[in-house]
Amino acid sequence: MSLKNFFIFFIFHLFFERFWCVFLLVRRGFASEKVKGGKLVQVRVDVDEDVVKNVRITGDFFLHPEEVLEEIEESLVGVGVFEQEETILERLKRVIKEREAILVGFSAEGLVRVFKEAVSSCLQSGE
Amino acid sequence: MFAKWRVVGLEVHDGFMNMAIDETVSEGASKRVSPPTIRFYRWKPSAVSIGCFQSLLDEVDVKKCKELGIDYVRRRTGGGAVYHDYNGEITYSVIAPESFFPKGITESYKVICGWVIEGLKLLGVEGYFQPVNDIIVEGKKISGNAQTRRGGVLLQHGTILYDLDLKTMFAVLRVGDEKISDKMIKSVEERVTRLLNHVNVNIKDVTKALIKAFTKGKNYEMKTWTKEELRRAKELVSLRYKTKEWNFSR
Repeated sequence: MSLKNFFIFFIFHLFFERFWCVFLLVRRGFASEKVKGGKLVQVRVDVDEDVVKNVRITGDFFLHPEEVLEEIEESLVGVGVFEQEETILERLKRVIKEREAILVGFSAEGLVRVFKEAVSSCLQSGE
Repeated sequence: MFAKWRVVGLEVHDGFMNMAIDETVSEGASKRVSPPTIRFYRWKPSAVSIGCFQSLLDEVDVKKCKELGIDYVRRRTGGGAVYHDYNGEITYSVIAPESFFPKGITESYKVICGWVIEGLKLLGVEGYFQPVNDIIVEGKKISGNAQTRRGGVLLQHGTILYDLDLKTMFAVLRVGDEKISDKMIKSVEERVTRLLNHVNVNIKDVTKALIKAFTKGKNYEMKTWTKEELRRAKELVSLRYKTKEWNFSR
């Protein structure tokens, strides 16, 4: 690869890394909630063609065992943007029950609420 | 089964090593090669630790940390971001089989936080436990605590504020979009307190009181780490706690 081609590739790479969602029409959503006397829960989602493709949950809550958070995130991938809260809650509760997980400082209901809000936020923001 | 607790008196390590020692001893306790352990330590250089579910970039001004020579490290426990000032606090860890403590999360916090409260009492400071994980003195938080359970072992670590360097704390922790203002500093001062606000003691006396309180009624010996534990801890520093993959994982 010549130096010139390399630079073109490099600049394109940088651009793509940052703005890939523009190309793929993926919409990003974010929502957060601080439970009174409890903890902060933040949810980031990527939505593509009305389906949630990526979920990232962060915050200062506690969850035992900690690895379950990744499974919770995975369980929310594939959720349709118009899915009912109850259906999502059921999904979530199944994972929590299977793994005998304990949530401290937040609840499954609260998490679903923030998740739904994150999803709606990227619907409102358009493309 | 180990009959005796091991107590490791006030040590100084960097943040990565501090977190690696906690994990090493948890692993060891799970395999029954490490005794139930109580340890006290400080952080040098001063460091920020974040909860295992927090986003590092959301919580920490990484550039500012580098500028000030302050480390940052992700913990294995949940909870919030903490600025561990070398001169401003003492941290403890309790690592022992889960069976030593009540099954309920809050109940087990209450037991170990009770030891901290007992230590404060020996210094003449009245504190109380506020669920989930705080200790309060005169309406203000003086100690934050965090717990994890793995392989049948409970690890709880927590920090007792001795002094406050709010300026540095605000410089390295991201606290929303507001600029650091006197108002914000005042608001933290209304919510957080430190030992020096209540009693004139030095770190040595605080440690003494804490050791006395934590070991009350226990069969224990003052000891340090085994060679194998130190080897494993150093390994975990490079395999996990110093890596970008771990610290920036969220």
